[in-house]
Order: sequence, then structure tokens, then C-alpha cells
Amino acid sequence: MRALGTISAILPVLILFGASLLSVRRCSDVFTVFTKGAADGLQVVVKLLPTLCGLLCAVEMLKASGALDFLAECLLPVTELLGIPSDCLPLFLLRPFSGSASLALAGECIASAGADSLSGRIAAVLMASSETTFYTAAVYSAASGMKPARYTMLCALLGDLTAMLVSVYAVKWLFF
Amino acid sequence: MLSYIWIGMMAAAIVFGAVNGSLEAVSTAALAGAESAVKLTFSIAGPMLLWSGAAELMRRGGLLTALSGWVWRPISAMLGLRKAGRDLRENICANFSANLLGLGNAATPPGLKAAELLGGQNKRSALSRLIILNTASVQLIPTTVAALRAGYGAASPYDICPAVWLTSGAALLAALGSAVLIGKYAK
Repeated sequence: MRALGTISAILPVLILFGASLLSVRRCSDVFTVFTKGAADGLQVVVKLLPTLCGLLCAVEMLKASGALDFLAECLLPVTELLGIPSDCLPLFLLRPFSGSASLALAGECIASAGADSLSGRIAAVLMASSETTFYTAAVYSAASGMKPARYTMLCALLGDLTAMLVSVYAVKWLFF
Repeated sequence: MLSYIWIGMMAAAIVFGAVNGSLEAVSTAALAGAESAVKLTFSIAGPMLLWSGAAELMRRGGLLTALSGWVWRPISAMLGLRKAGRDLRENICANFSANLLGLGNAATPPGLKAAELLGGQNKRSALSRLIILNTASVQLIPTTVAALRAGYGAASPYDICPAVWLTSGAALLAALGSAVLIGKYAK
């Protein structure tokens, strides 16, 4: 398990270096290619800010109003049974519906609980291992011009539910 | 979708604020939220830029194409596609490999092209499984989340990788497995 952790920690750097080495064979101006890509990334980040501004504003309002505490209390039997920390709850509920809202919630959870805390890690793992299911399914169906089989959404949501349950256990098992 | 979620969140905040007598705190929190959005954006900006640069190198340097060559066998088995034209095959592989490397932006265009081709060939069950594959978010390198963790002071931002692999693997197994079973028995 430790070896796996080390591999995953150095994998990104190896990929970065490997990709630049491979690129040198094809074109000499590797650094320009890199900066062009980074500039594209900047565009993405800049576009994200207005969305996050609106959403985090609403999230902080919810927290201050006591609505989240109320929700957490209502769902206490379920969350206790499954071992879901209550500060991850909003993220769990919104994950399949909105990508930017869940990014905002995951950021909030990681910021307030700490990146290496139980809740912070669960939020990160769930965020990484599930998608904005409703949006993705809608976009792909629209592109195909045909209705996918009726069971598609059911199975995709079953996957999300599995990700929610397993993320909690995986983090507890691997880190705590 | 987002508009309703947003309005709903604010409405709930105001109702609960009024009931709990914490309306003043709610309105201070709104400003604090706007501020933390800037902090969040700044903290993920650096790693996101770095990885987007790496993504461009993978695309131009041929790493993505190389990976695409290796993934067809497992993918075709998962989608239940025994034969596929070159165009369809390339798009599906590019979609999956970009997802694996955590390059969400590079994954969508070939994914949508593959969906269009599957639709044109009337391959409904393969299309359903392609959608499931994309909603299960199988990735080797969780770039965005690692950026988020790095920004908030994680000791080792990528150490969640094994947990992510385990979780998304289980999710894929559940989603794809149920799709295969339902497709087989519920006709």
C-alpha cells in the first residue's frame, strides 16, 4: 500500500517529464507548447471564478443560516449508519447535479476541515471519482441524436451511489 | 439546472436565517463567500496551469496517441463492441485515455464525436455504456482535486490516488455491471 502511495505521488512528475521528452522528438519548441497549454488552463480558471463567486456566496449563506446543520440533523440516521461525516453531506447531495457547485462545496469542505483530515480526504476522493452525471448523460445523448437505453440513468446513478459509499470506506481504510 | 440550485440555496438560507434570527450573519457570509471564491481560484490556478501545459505536451508529443493504442481491447469489451470503424475506434480511445490522464477538456470532443457515430449506427447499448463509462469518471491522475488539495496545504496532494482508483473502479463495476445485466435479462 505504501509503495502504491509513493508511485501515485511521483506519477504526475514522471508524466510531465515523459511528455516533454516525447515532445522533443516531434518538435523542438517544447516550452512554447507547454506555455500554450498553460495559457489554455488559465482561460479555464478565469472562467471558473465568476461561477465559484456566486456559488460560494450561496454556500456560505447556507452555512451561516443554520440550514446545513438542520439538514445534517435530519439525515443523521442515514449518515451515521454509513459513516459519512456531516460536513461532506452537501457535497454528497449535489455531486451528480452540478459540477461547479460540487467543486465549490469540495473546496469549502477541504478548506474548513483541512486537506489531510478525514472529511477533506473523503470530499476529494468523491469529487475525483464521480462525475456530474445528469449533465454528462444529457450532453452525450444530445450529441448521439438518439435516446440511450432506458436503464442508462439508473445504472449511472447506481455508480454514483457506489462511489459515495466506497469513498468513505476507502479513505478510512487507507488513511485512518 | 444551476439557476434553480442557486436560488434554492439562497432561499433556504434566508428562510432559516429568519427563523434562527441569524439574517445578519447570513448577509456577512455572502460577502465572505465571494472572498473565499477568489482564494479558491488562486489556490488551484497554479497546479491547473501546470497540468494544462502538461496536457498540451501529452497531446502534441504523442503520449495520448500511444495510450489510445493500448486501451482499445479493454474498452471494446466494456462497451460490447466487437467491430468498429477506424473513426469510431479512434474517438472512443482518445476519449477514454484523456479521461484516464485527468484531461477533462480533451476528453469531451472525441467522446461526443463517438456518441454521434454510435447514434448514426443505431448502436443503442454501446451508446448507453459509453455514457456510463463517462459518468463513472475513471482517472489515473485526479488533476483538479489534487490542485485543490495542494492549494489548501495537503502534505502530499496526490496521496489520495489509490483511494480514488479503488472508488472509481467500484463505481464503474457497479454501473457497468448493472447495465450489462439489465441489458441481457430485461428485454
